[in-house]
Amino acid sequence: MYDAELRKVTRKLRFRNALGTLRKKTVYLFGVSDNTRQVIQILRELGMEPCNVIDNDRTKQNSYCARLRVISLDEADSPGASEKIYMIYSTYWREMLPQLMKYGVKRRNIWKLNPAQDCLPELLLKAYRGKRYRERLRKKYGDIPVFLCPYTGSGDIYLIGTFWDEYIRRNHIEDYVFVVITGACKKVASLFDIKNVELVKKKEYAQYLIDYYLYDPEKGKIKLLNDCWAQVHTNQTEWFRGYKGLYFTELFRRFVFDLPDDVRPRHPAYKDESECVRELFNKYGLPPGKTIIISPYSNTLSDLPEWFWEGLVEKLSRKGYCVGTNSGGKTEPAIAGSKEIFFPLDIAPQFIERAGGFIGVRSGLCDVISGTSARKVILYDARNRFYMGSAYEYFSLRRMGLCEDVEEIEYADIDMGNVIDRILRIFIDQEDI
Amino acid sequence: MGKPGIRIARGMIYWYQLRLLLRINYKKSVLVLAGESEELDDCCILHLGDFMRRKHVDGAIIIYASDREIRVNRENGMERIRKYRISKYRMRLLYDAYCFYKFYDNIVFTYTDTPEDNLLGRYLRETKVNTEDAACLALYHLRRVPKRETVQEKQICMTRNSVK
Repeated sequence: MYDAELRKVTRKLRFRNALGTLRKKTVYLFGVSDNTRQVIQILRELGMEPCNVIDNDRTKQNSYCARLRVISLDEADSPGASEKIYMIYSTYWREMLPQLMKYGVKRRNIWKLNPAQDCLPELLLKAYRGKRYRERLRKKYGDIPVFLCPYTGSGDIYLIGTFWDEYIRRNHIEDYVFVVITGACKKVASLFDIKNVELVKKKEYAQYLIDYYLYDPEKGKIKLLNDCWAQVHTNQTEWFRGYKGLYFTELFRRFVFDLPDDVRPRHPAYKDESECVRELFNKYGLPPGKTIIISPYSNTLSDLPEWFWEGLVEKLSRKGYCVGTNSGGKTEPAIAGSKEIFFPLDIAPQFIERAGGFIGVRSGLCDVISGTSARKVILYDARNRFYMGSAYEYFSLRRMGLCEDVEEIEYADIDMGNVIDRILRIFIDQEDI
Repeated sequence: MGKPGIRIARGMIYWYQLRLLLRINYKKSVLVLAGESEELDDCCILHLGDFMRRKHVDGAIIIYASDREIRVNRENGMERIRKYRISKYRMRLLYDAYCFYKFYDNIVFTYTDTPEDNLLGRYLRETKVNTEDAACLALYHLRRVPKRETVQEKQICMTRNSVK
C-alpha cells in the first residue's frame, strides 16, 4: 500500500472504531500478504489485536503473519457468528467473498478495505501527474534514463546494488536517475556507487510515473527494477517465482538486468564509519564482539511468536552476550530482556560487524548485512511459501550468492528448545575457537 | 489528447460496445485469444473451466481473431461458453486500452511479448516454463497446474510438452 491508500484504510478503520463497530468483535484478516501485515499494524496502533489470519492455502497454515497464527476457515470457531469480522485487503477480493460466504459469513461482516478501483478519468489524471513529475526530473537531471524502484524492500535495493556496476558497464550508461520511495531505500542505495538517487516526496509519485509510462511508453519511458510489478498488469509472471528454479537472484539477473548466468552479485566496499558506529555502541552500552543483534520482524515473510524470542534472549544473556533488538518504532518493540536498538541502514554492515552476531527472521536487513564477517543466523519457517517455492528456496542468502558463512535454519515446528539450542551451539562453538 | 489517448479512447468505446453486445458482467470471464502462440491459446481453452471455478463465475466468452477453429469441450461446467470472433485490429485496440486501464478483472489476453514489459514470451523461450504453466500460473493465477483428467486432455498436454 502506498501512503495515500494507507491513510484511507487507517481513516476507515479509525472511523469504524470510533463508531464502536469493532467493540466486542473478533477480528480476522483474510489472506496472508504484505497488505494484511500493514492492516494488522494499523489495528494494533488503534489498540486492537486481531485473532488470526485466515488463508485457505494449506502451505501457509500454521505459520505466522505479523505474529498472528495463520489458520484455515475450518479452524475458525463458528465462522458465521455475528461478532466475527473478516477484513480483506486484496485485489482478489471478488473470489474471496464467496469463499467466506460459503461458510455462512454474512456480507455485512466482511469488510473489504481496498479502495474502489480508479475510473478512467482518475487514472488519466494520475498519468498526467506522472507526466509532470517526469518533466521535473528531466529539468533537474537532463534527458537521461530513469530507473524506478517503486517498493519499500531494502533487500531488493541491495540486490540491485550488487549487480549495478556490471549492468551500467555493459549497457554503456553514463548518467541516470535512480528513483526510490523511502529513506531506508535511499540509505541502502548509498552503500553502492549509485548516483542521482532521487527520493520521491510522496510514495504515490512512483505510481504516477508508472501510470504515465503505461499511457505513453515512449515519452514516459522508465525502467522498472523489478521482475514483476502488479501495477503493470500486462506482465503477470509473479506466480513463476520459486517455480522450476526461478529464484530471487536468477530473476533479477536475467529478467531485470539481462545479465548472463555467470555474473555474480558483488558486495560494496564498506565506507569507514567507525566513529559513528563507536558512538552508537557507547550510547547503547554494547560490548564490541559480544553483542548479538536480533531482528524478529519482517514485512514480507512470516515471523516467530514472542515467546520464542524471549526464550532465546534469556539463554543468550545467560551465556554472557548483550542482546539488542533491531527496532523500527513502536510497532516493533524490543523483546523482553533485550535493549531497543536503532541503527541507520547505511551503516548497518559496519554496526553488525562490530557487534559480532546477528540473528533474524529473513528480511531485507539480512541482505544488507550479508557481506559482513559477523556470525549470522537466519531463520526461515519451513511452511512459509513465497509464490511457488518455499521462502528458504527463494531467499536463501547462500543460494543468492550473497553469503557463504551464514547459518540458515529452516524450522518445521515451533520447537523452541531445538531451534534455540541449535543457535546457542553456533555462538558457543565460536567462543571455543 | 495525444495519440495514445485517442487509441485508448477508441479501445474503451469498443469495450463498452462488447460489454453491451455480449452482456458481460462479473458472472462471466472473458478469454481473448491473441493468436501469438497457438499452443498457449489451446492451453488457455483447456484450463478455462479451472479459471471459471476460481473466479466463481458461471459463464465465459472466448474472443478470437484467427480463422482457426476453436473447439471447446462442453462438459464439466463448460456448458455456458460462448465464442465471438473479431478482427485482429479491434483486438489490438481493446488490448491497447487494457494495457493502460484494467477495465475488467475477469479478462485474460494471451499476448506473450506485447507490450515491451510483458515477459511471458521470454519465460517460455528462456526457461523451463511451458505453455501449460503459462496459462495456469501467469494468465489464470491458479496457484498450481491442475492435473488433467481425460485421456484426450492428457494427450494434448503431452504433445505440447514434447514440442517444448
